[in-house]
Amino acid sequence: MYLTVPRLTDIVKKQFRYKMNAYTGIFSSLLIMQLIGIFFGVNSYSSYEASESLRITDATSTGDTPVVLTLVWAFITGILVTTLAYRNDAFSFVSNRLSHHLSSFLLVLLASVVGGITAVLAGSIGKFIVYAQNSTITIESPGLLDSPFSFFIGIATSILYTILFAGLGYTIGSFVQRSKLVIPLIVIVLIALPALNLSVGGVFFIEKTIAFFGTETSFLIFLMKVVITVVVLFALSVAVTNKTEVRK
Amino acid sequence: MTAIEFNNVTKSYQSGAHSVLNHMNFSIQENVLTGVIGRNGVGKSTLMKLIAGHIKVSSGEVRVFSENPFNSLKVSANTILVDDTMSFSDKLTLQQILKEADRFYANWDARLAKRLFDFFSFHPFAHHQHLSKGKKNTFNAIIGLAAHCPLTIFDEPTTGMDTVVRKDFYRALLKDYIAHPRTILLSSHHLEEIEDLLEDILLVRDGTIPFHGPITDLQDMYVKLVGKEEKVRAHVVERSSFGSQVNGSFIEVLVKNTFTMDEQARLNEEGITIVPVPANDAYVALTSGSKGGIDDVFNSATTD
Repeated sequence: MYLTVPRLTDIVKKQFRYKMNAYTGIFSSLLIMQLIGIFFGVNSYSSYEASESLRITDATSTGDTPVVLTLVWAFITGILVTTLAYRNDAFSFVSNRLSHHLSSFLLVLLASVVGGITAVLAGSIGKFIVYAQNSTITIESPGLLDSPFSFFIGIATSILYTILFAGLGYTIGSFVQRSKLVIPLIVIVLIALPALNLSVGGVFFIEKTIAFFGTETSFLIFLMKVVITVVVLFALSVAVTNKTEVRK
Repeated sequence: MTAIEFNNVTKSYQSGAHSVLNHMNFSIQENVLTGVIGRNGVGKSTLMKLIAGHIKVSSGEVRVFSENPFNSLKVSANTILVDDTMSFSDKLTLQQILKEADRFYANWDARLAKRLFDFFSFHPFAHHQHLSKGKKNTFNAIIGLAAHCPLTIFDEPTTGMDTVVRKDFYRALLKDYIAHPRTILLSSHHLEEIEDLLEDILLVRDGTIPFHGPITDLQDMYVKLVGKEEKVRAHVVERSSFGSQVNGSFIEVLVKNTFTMDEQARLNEEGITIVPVPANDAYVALTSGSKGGIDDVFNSATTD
């Protein structure tokens, strides 16, 4: 019987298709998260008497809630695809650790793009709901029609943030696969360090990190920052799990 | 050509506390159906996972198709390991799983897969995780057979299968092997079930290989002496016996086959027959530990 000589790109392509078929749950959880986001986004009413004859009702809707929940979803999804069950599924067919990483990461990227776009659109749905409920004057924020450029920048930014969070989740997931001792370490970094205030310098680091991405005003530089960060995160994930034993 | 090579392979879990495989050396030729035989927990599964590249050696070297299998795409594409750790996404139906397997394995025999699938009466829209243990293993075995991988490894494939399905599976394996010769490793602790199938036996005991070779050579290592009890006893007093059975005034004793021609002639004169043993008896004799039988556990308990 002759031996097959596989190419990495072929195997990655096949695995990517396999994972697309096998992990549709990723997309249904995205849908649920964004529905929750829309619901909580529109639900902020405030009403007050301006004078005896005038009553003002504020109905505000924020497109941020679906975006925030999408980021949470991206982070969890990133962790999820690195777990044991997903790995064993992948190694039931042809795979090595690199091809498994590449195909999982492509899946996470695709999911992040879908998540990033729909998060912004979900925000628009929220605005529409508020408009339909009140049918009064709406002071609009930038939308597709009056400022298409910033609308698309908004979508692109949303995608990049989603990718960033998914990449972070993926890396943390990979480290946890390497050693369960990473979990308390992450808890310390996320909770204990900020609570300790400035004394350790932990807050300083976290603030810096947030400012590094959050205060960037040039889209191109922001894009580069995200791409480089994600590439570094991915390389780290591959490096720490390249010796992982599977289907033990 | 050599398909699998183990050079001084040691595998231990938990940072060397206990080694499962101990300086193991053997090689398996291409297109041979080898049975990996051994008692529970001797390292059969570990050995197979090493070959498939799922786990990595602690020291030594494994070569499969002259490559280190760990992280090798070539080995992965040409090898399939069927065991109970095979898992598939719960979103896929059985039919979809077969379709995925078709895309991954170059030699996939869709016709065979379909026929076996129907024969063992699977429902195309059933889900893998809802199958019973026996059904799950039957389904995994179908994938293993239909993949037609140059190296096909079955680790305890018949666990949970009923008698009829077991027999059908072994028959299917044999027929498919004859039609498409390839290197097959098959592990089981029930040697009597698979001895008719095997060409070679790789016997594993305590992480080492006490025997590797044709099944007939294993049988030749032992014989049974059958005759009058006092006469047989007189002959085996110098030898270690691996089990005996008394039937009236006759006795059967399993001993190592180290009789010279003269001795054989003398045995014949005294009316003692030398009977060849089934491979399973030879296997049990070779793998039973020095702790004696289970009866000894109870015997010593009463004398304490």
